[in-house]
Amino acid sequence: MNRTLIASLLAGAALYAQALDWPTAGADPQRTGWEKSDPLITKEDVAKKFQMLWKIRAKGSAGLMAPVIVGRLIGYRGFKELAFIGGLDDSLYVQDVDMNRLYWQTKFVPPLESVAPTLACPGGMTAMPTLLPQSLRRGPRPGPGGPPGAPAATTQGAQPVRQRPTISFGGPRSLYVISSDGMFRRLNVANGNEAGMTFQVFPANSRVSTLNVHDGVIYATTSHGCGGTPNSVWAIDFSNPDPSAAPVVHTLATGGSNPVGIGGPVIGTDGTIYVQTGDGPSDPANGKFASTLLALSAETLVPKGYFLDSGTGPAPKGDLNAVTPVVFDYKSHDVIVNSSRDGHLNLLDASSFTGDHKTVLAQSAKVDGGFWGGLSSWAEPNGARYVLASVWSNASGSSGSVIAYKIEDKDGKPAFTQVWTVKDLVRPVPPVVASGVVFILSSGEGRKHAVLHAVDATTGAAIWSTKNEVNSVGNLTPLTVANGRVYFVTADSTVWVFGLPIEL
Amino acid sequence: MRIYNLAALTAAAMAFTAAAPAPPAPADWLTDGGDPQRTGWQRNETILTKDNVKNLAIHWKTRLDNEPREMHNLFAPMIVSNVPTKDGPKEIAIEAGSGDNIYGIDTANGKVIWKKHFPYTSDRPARLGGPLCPGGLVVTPTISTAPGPNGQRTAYAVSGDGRMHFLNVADGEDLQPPSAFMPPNGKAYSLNLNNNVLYSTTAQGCGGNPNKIYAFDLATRKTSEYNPKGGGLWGRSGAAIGFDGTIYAPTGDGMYDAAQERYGNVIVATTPDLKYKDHYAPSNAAFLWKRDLDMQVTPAVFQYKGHEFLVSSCKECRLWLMDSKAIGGPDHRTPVYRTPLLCNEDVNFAAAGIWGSMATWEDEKGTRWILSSFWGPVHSQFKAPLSYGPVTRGAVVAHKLEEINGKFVLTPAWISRDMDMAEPPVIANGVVYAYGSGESNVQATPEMGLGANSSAIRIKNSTHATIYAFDGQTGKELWNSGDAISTFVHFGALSIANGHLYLGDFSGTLYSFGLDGK
Repeated sequence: MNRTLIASLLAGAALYAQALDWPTAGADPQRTGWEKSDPLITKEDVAKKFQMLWKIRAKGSAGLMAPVIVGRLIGYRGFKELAFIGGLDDSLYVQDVDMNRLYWQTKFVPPLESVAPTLACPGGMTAMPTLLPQSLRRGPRPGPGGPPGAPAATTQGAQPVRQRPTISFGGPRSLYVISSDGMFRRLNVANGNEAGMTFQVFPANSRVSTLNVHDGVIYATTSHGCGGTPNSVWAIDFSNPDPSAAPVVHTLATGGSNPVGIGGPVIGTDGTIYVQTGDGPSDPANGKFASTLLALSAETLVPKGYFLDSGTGPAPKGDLNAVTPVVFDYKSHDVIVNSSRDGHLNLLDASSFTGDHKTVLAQSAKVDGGFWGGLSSWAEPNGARYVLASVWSNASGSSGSVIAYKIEDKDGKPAFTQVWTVKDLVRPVPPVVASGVVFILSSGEGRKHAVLHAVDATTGAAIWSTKNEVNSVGNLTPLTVANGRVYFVTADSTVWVFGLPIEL
Repeated sequence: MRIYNLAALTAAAMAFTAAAPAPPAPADWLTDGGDPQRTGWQRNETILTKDNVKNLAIHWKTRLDNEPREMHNLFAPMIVSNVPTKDGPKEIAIEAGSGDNIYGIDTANGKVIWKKHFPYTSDRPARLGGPLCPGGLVVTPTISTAPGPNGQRTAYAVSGDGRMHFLNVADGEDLQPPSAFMPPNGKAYSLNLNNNVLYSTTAQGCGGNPNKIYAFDLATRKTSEYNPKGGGLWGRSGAAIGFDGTIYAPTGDGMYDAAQERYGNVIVATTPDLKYKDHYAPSNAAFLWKRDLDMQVTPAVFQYKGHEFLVSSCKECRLWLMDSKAIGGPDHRTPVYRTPLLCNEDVNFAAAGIWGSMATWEDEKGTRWILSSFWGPVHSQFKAPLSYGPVTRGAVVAHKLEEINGKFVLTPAWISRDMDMAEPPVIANGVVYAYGSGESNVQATPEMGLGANSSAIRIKNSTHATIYAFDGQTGKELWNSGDAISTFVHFGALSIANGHLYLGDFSGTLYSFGLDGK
């Protein structure tokens, strides 16, 4: 490793403070929605300086996804901060977010056998792409001729070669994509070229969830039986450093129920994969995991345990109480928060997945209506832990709120305490957090357009909002926040960017 | 040995001076950029003219035995005439090489009169550090402006171990013992000399050294330094010096926070003894930092209509005109004038933008010309009244400084023909000389990222340098060196003196061009 070069670059020529990525839905594999270290965002600056920076409409495209962000690409065309925006029509737009310029775009060839879209099976590219998280930025500077961004390969006997992908300073980097034809693609973020061979992993027209990645394995789920694909959890091991080597794919069928939530599989800090399922046949002993939070082994997807929803009553309408869980550290071990089908939040740990499979560490009060989409979590510097949830009062979300809970010890046990609520929202999507500011998107509906709100993360006090500036409704995709900017997408295929201006 | 009566000789010389017109000042080139103000303007040239430069041809070329380090080899030669040597007065080129070598070369024939190798003396190990930190000798020397006792001239040079050397131009012998100046293995830039003090700047944190302005007082042999706490100070020609002795240097990528005295991406001004004096931070300094568009162009300082101005630029590829009274105006963010972008529409950190230094001159009508050179394609919105075909690889641009409605503005006048990585020009007798370095300046590729920034790859992808002569008022090409130079030039510079043009290339060959090859 050329330490001097790295040192010299870091010393001056190359480092713009912290260039943060938003590499995946919900910021991280744990789906916390928390940008932990954005130095550009302060409550004061959000209040005084936040403004619309740009918007761009992807003409002819439909169903845009939330952007993932590379905070700093040192590329052949310069230092760039790039947003990668997938579209249901198999398109991928890459935008230079400082300049509001299209950097590159591509469109994958759809499958020969397309199907008539339905609400459950829209067809097209449904999987929000992902990048390796920035925490893996530990590799050496790439050397000429070496494999992109990875240490030397090791082979043990006849075992398949596994090599944990890392991100090297200034090295090439890939965006992981599943196109509607079910192909697994690794695209060079610099120019969109295939960085490895493409492989058929999913049947065409599957409804593939938002992707997640950990330790050289991409995780996703398939639902609604779209494309004839069983509802399953998928692990795509692409850690073989040979870009022509086919990935090793593991699957676990849910036994009929749909994996739910907008964030796809969630990954614990120990690599455990968590997948929430919805209604359906329930017989865990025989592989039927309905209304269950599955805990699966990394890569192989062997069940480590499961948590059974003890909620009663009729199945929730729409997508209520069918959310992506969130994982975070609490007292030095992973805990998980999910929602029960009757509108409680459950705080779980490893013990919840064994025994009677129903033991919770804590449970919130029941909400009217239900939780929607996913959950978020952040912590104050003193360790005080918050969980944020979007609540729809009914299946249409015409009245909604965001509730902040604090996880506090009461009588020696953790408990949910509702600390603030932001009301009068329409179809809010899961909020995101940065530097003590919570960003909430009221997606709107009908004649009510989307509104982005910024509130104090500890009190819920209003700081700023877009008021009437957005003229379309949100398309129920997650928020993205990075480097002083907040991104969301509206149903008219427009990407909106609000944030702190930088003079060009 | 004959002993001269110095007093008698002096008296005789004075009598001769009184009786005859003063001889024209020699067109020597004693420091990078021609003068402490780094104008690149050779005011005393009389031999080369617009009419005869078409006859330039290789006078001689000399392959030196200097060891290249990374992409570096030879730096700009300093040219000193009338040097008293044991063989009589000679014009001597002082050529420094990256391998800690320095040469005295007879400009009449290209023969090496003397060579001196600086041994590495530091306890810290010498090392290479990639293209940005080559180690070894990286500082273009400078020459004393006036003869010393017995007419001797002193070449000041900094070796890779950070020591200052004081060499007799005539024979390379030490006139004084070397003295500590800066830390070893740094990446320092051209020496400048003013009022008996030598200046240099350092960058890239090479050798683990902080990025600073350094000064060496020749009277006390003491070093002083100033750390603007920004990025590297890598203006190719080091610091420029104002007519009042103020030191001006650009700082590369780093935080700009004046309240905390952190001056990244600014032009910083200090007093001659390196106390902070002033700065100019472009209003988009944060963007420059974010996109790695370093302020890395040594300013040129000049006087015009009762003002002392500076002009500089950076990789972003626009020019700033500054008044030395307050180079950034009252808020440190407002120059006198800021041009639109000339190039680098893609906002690239490498192989695009303005690099190195500026140049400026004044014609016989009093028109003040500002010259810049850039890499890469011209900006689609930049237009000059005179142009010479598509520009995709680089060009020289001339602006006129004009006073319009009481405000000083820079007006585009001409843009040269396409040049392969255009490097900072020099001007003599109304002719602008510049070269396309032929260097591969690509530092990142899609497949390799920054892994492409290796000397081996860049050397392999480089071609050769070509020098051009342009009419200073129109930009019309008057001559070029064709394939005469065999390899590329990395961080070299042109020197022009007494009818000859000099450039050293990566092969270690120093070229002299003269009229009809003489």
